[in-house]
Amino acid sequence: MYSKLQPDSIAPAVDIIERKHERVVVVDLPGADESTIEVNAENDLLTLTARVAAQEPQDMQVLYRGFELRDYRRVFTLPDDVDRQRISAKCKHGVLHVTLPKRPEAQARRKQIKVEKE
Amino acid sequence: MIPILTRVETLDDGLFGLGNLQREMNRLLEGYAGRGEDFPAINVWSNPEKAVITAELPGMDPAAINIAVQGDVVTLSGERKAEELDKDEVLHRQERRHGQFSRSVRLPYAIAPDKVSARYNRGLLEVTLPRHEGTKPRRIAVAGD
Repeated sequence: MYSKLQPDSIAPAVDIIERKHERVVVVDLPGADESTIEVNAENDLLTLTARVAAQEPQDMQVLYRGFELRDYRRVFTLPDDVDRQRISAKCKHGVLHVTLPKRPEAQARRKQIKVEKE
Repeated sequence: MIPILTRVETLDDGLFGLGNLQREMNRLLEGYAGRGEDFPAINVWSNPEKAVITAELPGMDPAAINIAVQGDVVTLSGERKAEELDKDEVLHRQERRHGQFSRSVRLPYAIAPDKVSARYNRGLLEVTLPRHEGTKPRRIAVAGD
């Protein structure tokens, strides 16, 4: 699946939010072609990849360069409590939201354990 | 080709995450996107006819991006909103830049403000700035006897 990615892909900036029933990974993918975004949960790894489609102006002199458009790739370990079957993702204006729901039984397992006094 | 070395990161901080310092160092060493001090990151091009500025502004409402031109200075400004968090939600990482921004660029020549155009696509802003006619070099015909 990574064969078409440039070898020097860069790690996109992310925010990671944890809510009671899910985690959300918010990924900045400016210039990425939405149809090439791949969110892959395999074994214990969450792999995010995207190919850049934006074109730079041709036949112009570069006066200042603050960023380079390159393919994106970043890998995270998946915590045990993520329900892999229900992972979903959506993308708008170059921002990808990956929602990783927690398994209900995992939430139940998180119950606080009462410490009894002797 | 699968890169031989892939750094695998954790989603959660705390017990299983890297310490902040180490993570910051890794980020500096590995060249993360959006690492620059200046937000948004921009590129500037020019030729004798026009200049082009591109900016990385993913997740914006295009109508909330302001472009102002005065002479040879172009200013991009606006606000990128942060993800909204409720009280019981935890932010494990916040690498994406947000908040008010304003960046000004001085170009090699004055711009025709009424001819400036901009488009926003896939989180990238591209502003095309045609050169002001009055600043273009004029060839003067030399009259002979």
